[in-house]
Amino acid sequence: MAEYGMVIDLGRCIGCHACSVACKAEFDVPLGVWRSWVKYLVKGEYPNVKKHFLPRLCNHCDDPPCVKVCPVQATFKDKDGLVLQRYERCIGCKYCMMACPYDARFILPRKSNVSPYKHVIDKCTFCNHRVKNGQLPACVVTCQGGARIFGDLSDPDSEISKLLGTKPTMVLKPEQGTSPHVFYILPEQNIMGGRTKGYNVYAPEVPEGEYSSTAKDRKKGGN
Amino acid sequence: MEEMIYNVFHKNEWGMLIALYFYFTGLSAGTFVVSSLYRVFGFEKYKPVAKTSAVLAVLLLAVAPILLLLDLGQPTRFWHLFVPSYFHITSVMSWGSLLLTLYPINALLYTIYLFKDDASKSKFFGIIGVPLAVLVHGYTGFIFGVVAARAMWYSPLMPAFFLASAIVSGFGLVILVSFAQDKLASRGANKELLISMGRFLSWFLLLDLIFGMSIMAMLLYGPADAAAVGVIALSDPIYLYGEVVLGQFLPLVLLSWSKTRNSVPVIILSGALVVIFVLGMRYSLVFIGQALPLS
Repeated sequence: MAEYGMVIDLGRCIGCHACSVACKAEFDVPLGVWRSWVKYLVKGEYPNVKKHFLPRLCNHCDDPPCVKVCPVQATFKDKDGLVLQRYERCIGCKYCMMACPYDARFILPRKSNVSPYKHVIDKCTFCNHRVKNGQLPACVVTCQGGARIFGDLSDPDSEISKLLGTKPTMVLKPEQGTSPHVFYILPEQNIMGGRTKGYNVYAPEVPEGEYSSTAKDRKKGGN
Repeated sequence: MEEMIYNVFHKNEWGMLIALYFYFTGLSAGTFVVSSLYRVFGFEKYKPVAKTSAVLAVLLLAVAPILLLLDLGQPTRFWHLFVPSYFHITSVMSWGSLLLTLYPINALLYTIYLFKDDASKSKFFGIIGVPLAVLVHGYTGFIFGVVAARAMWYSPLMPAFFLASAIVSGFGLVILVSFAQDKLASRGANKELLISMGRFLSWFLLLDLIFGMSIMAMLLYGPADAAAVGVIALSDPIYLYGEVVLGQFLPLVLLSWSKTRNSVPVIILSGALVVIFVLGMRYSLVFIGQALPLS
């Protein structure tokens, strides 16, 4: 009985898309649709210009609108806090796709050489099959900068709980009331370059602290 | 200056089939209500059109579920909607599939008893049928109205807007039906009936216009995504000229202005305009509602 969530440190993301590729490889996600991707945004005008990266995936919300609207209860929130899909039950009505505020869901193609599930709705599953075996999701393991941290929100000793307790985090579209489980730590530099033309953006050194775990330390959680 | 360099948008999956489905259920519910005006509400004037509009209501509704089936990703699994343990209380679509079985059965029974000239039984099924017709098109408004994620759809007025639209299209269609009926039987147009229908149509058009304008105004005054989709809607010719000007405003003016509202050709023209351009309302709601990407 866990409550899984993810923290993404935007100060560490370098926009390399390794997570997108690992996810594609793990599930043979079809062309044109994505379980996890990285959004690029450029803010400001030269010389005060910065490119920002926002890794995106299903937020596995606590009050998911997709679960609420499914007419056959094919989408459900399991006891570990993951929002999953019953592929044999889904009729492909696409109501959940309309209801998701984060555009996280997509429809699988009609024909597939690799998947037994065709023409039903799919999305990121937080690598359910790996997490249930004590491993970390593919995107978390492969992240070059260690930007993705996955863990049990209900466990006060987990790394993610400690991060959420010490770092200021944000979620996407909080006004929708979905209570997402994907939290973002904002980078330490001023990212409002677009609104502050001529502002001298001062970038301090990233301080040493509890949160300076290296890849070596991260190995404790997975492989 | 902000510029999105790369993002992923999942394709808008609700398309013309869904817009047509709303169109047909709206027409069906509207024609059922007009048909019930004779037996249930006692308007003697509506006797000539009661039977034809009842048949139309049933026929139009026979088409609607087929459109939905074609839109499903797994059409052969549609029976999952009727498995009791799968029924989802919070899903408007679950309730809708229930309504979409009850209403046609009721409409069929009503029509059968109407043709048998059985006054009491047809009145009974008509009385049940009017709220069912209201619900069968109201629920489609709820399908849109509860989606908080999409600003154009998330409005308390959406079910009411759909209903007013349905009754408007129903009256429009029955006006055309009455004209066709009289033409085929080589008798003069039933002027009294047409004027009565024109009056009803003008009042429901006013309601339709008020709801539509309210939704649009609240969109434009709303948060960034609402304002953006409002601007997209206003710059879409099908919405602006099709639905609003030709489908709501022009018929309303024609049917309210004392110089034109008693003229049979004008009433028939208004009926035709309404029937054609109310499809524009369904189309623009489905497509423009998805026009703003959410990711």
